[in-house]
Amino acid sequence: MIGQSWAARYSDGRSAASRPATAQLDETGLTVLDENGPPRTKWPLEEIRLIEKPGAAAEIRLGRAESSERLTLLDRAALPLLQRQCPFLRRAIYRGMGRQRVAFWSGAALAGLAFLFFVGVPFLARHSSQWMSPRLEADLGRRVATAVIRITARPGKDQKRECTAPAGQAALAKLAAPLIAQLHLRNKPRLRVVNSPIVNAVALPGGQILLFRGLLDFAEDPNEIAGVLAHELGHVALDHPTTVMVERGATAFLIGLVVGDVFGISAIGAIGTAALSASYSREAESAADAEAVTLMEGAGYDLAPFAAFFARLEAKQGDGELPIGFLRSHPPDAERARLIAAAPAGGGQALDMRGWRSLKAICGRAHAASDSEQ
Amino acid sequence: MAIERLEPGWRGGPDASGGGTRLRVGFDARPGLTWLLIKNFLLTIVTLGFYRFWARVRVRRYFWSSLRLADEPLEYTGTGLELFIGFLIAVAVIAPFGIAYVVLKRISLGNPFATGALSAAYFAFLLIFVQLVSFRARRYRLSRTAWRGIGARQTGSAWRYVGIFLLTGLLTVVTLGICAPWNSIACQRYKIANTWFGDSRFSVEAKAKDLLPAWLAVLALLVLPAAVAIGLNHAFFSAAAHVQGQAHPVARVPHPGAFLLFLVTIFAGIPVLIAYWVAQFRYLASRTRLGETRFHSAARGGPVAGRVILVGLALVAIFIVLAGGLAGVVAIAMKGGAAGVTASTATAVQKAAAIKSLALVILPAVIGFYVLIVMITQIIAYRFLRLGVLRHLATTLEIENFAAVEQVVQSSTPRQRFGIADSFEFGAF
Repeated sequence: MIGQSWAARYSDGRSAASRPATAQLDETGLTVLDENGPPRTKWPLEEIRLIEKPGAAAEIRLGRAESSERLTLLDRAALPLLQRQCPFLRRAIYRGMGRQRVAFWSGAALAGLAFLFFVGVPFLARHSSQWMSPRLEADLGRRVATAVIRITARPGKDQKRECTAPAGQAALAKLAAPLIAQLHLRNKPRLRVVNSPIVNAVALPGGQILLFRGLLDFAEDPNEIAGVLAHELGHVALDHPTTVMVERGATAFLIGLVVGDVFGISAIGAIGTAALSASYSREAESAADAEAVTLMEGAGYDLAPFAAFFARLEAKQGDGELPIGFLRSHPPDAERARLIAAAPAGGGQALDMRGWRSLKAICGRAHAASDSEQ
Repeated sequence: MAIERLEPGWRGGPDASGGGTRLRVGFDARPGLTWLLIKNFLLTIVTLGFYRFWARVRVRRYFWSSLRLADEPLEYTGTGLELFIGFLIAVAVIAPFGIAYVVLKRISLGNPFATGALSAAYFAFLLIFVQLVSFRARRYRLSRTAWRGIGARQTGSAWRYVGIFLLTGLLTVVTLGICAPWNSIACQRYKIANTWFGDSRFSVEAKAKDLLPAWLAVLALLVLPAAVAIGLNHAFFSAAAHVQGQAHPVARVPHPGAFLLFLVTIFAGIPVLIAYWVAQFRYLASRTRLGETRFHSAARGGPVAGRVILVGLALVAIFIVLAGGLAGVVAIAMKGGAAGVTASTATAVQKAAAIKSLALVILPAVIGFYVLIVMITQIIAYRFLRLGVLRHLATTLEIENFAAVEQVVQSSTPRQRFGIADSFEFGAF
């Protein structure tokens, strides 16, 4: 079969003209001859490329590697022979850019993004609460709190999303006052109880602290609630809520960008809900724990019940009965219990019996029985 | 040879326009596009979106080679890697602005003035960025386009292009849309006049005022019914208020005629705008030259608009059918599962298991629904919309004095030597 020739059309890559030609294949390459004339050029076998998949077309379009020459064989029957003879028939005709340029430019782009991700975003996040006026931060917190309450509240019949029984609120204020008095905050903390079975509490920007009813139901001692409050106040004092919100937004934007949401529209829409999934790093949690211990001691509250609280919480989580909660990403409870237990013992009750009962009943009738069944 | 494909009889015979040879652009869509789109879609999902650059290259290769001049296809020689790196560079450029916007937006939340100013600034940035990138992406695509081995390319400055766009855009805004043709013609003119095939440069003699009558007719068709509808509505309300003897009528139901007029305006507006777009294409093509070569387009708005409407209706129908199927699956699963969840004899563990199995049915159904919708939309958009429109525009395009095109010489600027911008055009995606 070698030595076969076909009718063809040839473009020399210098002009867009196409002239009739004859193509001859032998062991060394493909020779292109002018129609009934002298040879024009010879393509080595390893430089022959297919320009497009032949499909059902009657013609075979060939090109020469790294060149603008084109050759169209007018006989489809040439294909099997070409496939046998040409080792790189299906490779791309142009090699594309050099590896060094690929490495340099993709490296530069990735380095820029990495810098933004690991240095730029954390820097912005850390300082954003300082650049905000207290009034704006309080406003931001109120908006986020409204969103969180709307999503998490599961009020019973004839109940509100937020629990505001006056006696309970008075008890909560009394319990929190000695803790808050030790802090110098830009915004006065605002403590709110959400009618939701979640066993948790969350600190939001602008000093908004949400306690969920499930936590009050689960707690067996006022000092447990005081401990949780002190922990959340620690987050507030250390500016964690605003930092994490900004960090989340920027990170979501970056990830959206890389995955294909070029203008980050999806991230911009997620302002209120970002706080919901906010989880702090272990360092932030430990810092808030340390702050909590200081605040509890300063207020003269006994820490022992707070330490026991974590052991009970871990037991409950072990049952798998805890609704998906924010505490999940906190440091292991046993470890925290140890940290808190290491603090000097002693101190008093955060609330008397009457105050404690009022606080437990802040959402109306007791829910403890109905929730434990879930 | 090109000469054999001449179609005598077009506008006064072969010699009427002096050039001699005329050629109709050919279109040959080979089978396999649907399968290619499905494969691309699945691979893009599996790779979390990263395959999309390589997918785009394969689709472009298909589209380019379906266009034929003298029975020889256009070639697309770009690669997925080039698009990917171009994308990375673009992301690295946008990201600081985007992050600044996201962060500042959070900080300024609650202050309407600051938020508004911020949004306006970001919008302006995006507006400029999109124009910049679209010009440069065109340059990249042309640099990866060849016919008979002779490459195309684009010169000109992207910033200058943005300047033209912003200035004429401002004119359009100030004149309440009346001057829109100046915007589109100025932008197209700059792009076409900076386009090269080999060493031969395109030129275009287009005047916006030639399109003004057509554009004013479009505006009148869109604005007048809307104005009448608003007027009707207003009269209706005043009358209602008068009858009831109070300023605010109790029932603020729109006037039925006005409502109908609004609907008609919106649904008629789409084909009217498309027809205008096709008319502009026809006008520009007929005013474009490549050396001694001229072009003539007989594209019609009807087939293109009809196709857009048909595809839109088909998508709505498919969506309804699929959504119905999803609702059915969810309803059946809920009916079966709900019995297990609410049964009073069931223990907590049994209830949890019932909820879990319910989620196992509903979740895949919802995900499957979403994936199917996106895939079908993509396939229809490419297979029936873009390909169909391209076919119509191509097969109605005639090239006068094609012999001059065949004499074009390869540019002396070699391939891939136009600087870094060219190999992974910033914004090449």
